[in-house]
Amino acid sequence: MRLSALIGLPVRDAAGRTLGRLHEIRAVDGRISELVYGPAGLFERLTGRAQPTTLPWSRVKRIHAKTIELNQSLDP
Amino acid sequence: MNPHGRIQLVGGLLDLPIIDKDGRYCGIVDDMELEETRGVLRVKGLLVGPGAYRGRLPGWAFHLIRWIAGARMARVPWDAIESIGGAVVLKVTAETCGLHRAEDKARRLIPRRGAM
Amino acid sequence: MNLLELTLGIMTAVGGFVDISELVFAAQAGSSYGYALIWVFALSTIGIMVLGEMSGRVAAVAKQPVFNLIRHRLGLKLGLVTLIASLISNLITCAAEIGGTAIILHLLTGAPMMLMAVAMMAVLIGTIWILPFKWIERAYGLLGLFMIIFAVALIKADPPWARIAGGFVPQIPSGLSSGELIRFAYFGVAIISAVMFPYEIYFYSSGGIEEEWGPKDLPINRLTCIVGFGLGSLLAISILSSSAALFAPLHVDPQLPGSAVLEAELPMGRVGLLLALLGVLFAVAGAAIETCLANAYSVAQFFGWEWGRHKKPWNTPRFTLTWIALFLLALAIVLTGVDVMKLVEFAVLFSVLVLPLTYLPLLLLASDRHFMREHRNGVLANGLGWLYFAVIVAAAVAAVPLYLLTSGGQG
Repeated sequence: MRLSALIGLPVRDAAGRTLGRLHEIRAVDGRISELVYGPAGLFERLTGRAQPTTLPWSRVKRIHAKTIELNQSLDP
Repeated sequence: MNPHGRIQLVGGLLDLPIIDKDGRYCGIVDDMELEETRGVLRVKGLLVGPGAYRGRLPGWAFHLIRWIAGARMARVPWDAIESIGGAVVLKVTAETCGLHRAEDKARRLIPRRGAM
Repeated sequence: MNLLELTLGIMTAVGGFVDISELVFAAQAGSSYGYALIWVFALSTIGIMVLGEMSGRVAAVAKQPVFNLIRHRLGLKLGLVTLIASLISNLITCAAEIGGTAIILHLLTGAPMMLMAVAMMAVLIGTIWILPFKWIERAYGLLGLFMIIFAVALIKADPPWARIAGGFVPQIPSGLSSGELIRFAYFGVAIISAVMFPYEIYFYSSGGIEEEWGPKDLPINRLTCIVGFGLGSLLAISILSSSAALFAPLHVDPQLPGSAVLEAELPMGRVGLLLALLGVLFAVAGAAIETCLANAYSVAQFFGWEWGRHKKPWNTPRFTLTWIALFLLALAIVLTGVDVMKLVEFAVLFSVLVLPLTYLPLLLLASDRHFMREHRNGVLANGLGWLYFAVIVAAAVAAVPLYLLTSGGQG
């Protein structure tokens, strides 16, 4: 799997609601630890400011070809 | 920062230049390979070269670049990284990771004389 | 601070400031509108000082050249768009500079212009091949100081100094028809573009890496940008003012680069003419080198190749092949016989369209705490930087309509 295949994918909760798009992944010692998603994309990258919507990677239930599915329902 | 620390893969690593242990520029982090092992997703390595553009450009743009520059791609294992800052610095030489080939090909066309 | 290094750096910046676009537009602006466009030169010069200082500071502190940082900040897709746009813009500019040197050599020797273009190409390739970076930059920058003859010629022409001083005040001449007003605006945008060409930032920042600048060199960077660019701008303003004093009363429209050198001949005779021709030749040849290397730097940095003329050409093989290929492409454009003035117009037009894409990442990087630490933009640099970004965006939006409405400044 490539990083480019994940970035930009919509993030959906267990209830099927789209919470935003994945635009950052954080890792510790090479191990994926958090995902960062939201409506921002290019602006976030240009300004380098931290995106406030962060979830631990353990909340990811499954990575599909076109979405990332979380294992719980969240408020968008 | 060393690769064992906390890092942002897009904002802090993707599209950074790569410098080998001899201080030579040897590519850009064009993509990353992720691997899941026993439920843990890890960065397996860095992908370097026009072949790594596939997931990042529209299809027509990738095919155009492939026609111009080829589709070669080298893999830099995560363990080969010494540090990550303004550039990715490797613990090894460019040759070890296959990052030297295009430069070596071009070098054959350059005469080695006349320059101060 | 090494005083000799600083002096040489400033003098190189002075001698290297004027290129074919500034020469042509300064002369035409003076003949068409008198002293009324001096303020645009002054305003644009402050802009290039601000952005030049930022790019040098980023190179010295982050130790990464601008195009590496453009790639990292914009990503592959938008970074590629920026790269391609700046390649086209710089290539046209390089062709215009080579065409300009060919015209000057033709005037000096009488030899056919196309032959002179090929000869100049060989000299430029030889220069970059043989000389290390510092001496490439200094050779043409210092020889470009022959351009000082334009300032001397202006003094000898005894112009109306009060009107020149008045030209520094922002103004729009009264009594212009709507067509003339639009043409005046076109010249304003063209001067902004010519003074703030993106290649200057790429070249200056990469030059800082070539010369291994560090934080200790920040004062040299600041002084070179302020004093060097400032004095260089005064040379361009001298050309405009001489044109206003000498050509405007005679209703002469200096359409060709060769016309501008008459500003030195009229008050100073053949010596003035010869020195002006030499000054223009070296300044424009230096600009040809800068535009070509700026393009090669951009490509090499974008793709992570070894680059730089502080290394031998065979140690940076892809970079070497790139700058040679770019020179040959620029020469090919000149050899098609396209009018050099058309190339100058297109160079200015394309460059102003690319400017916002170039300057935005630089602005953001220069104020980035992570990369720049305590050397990031302060309030003044940020304020001026964003002000000039707004000016550049406005110029980019207005450029194409103004070009079309005025048929490239012809009216």
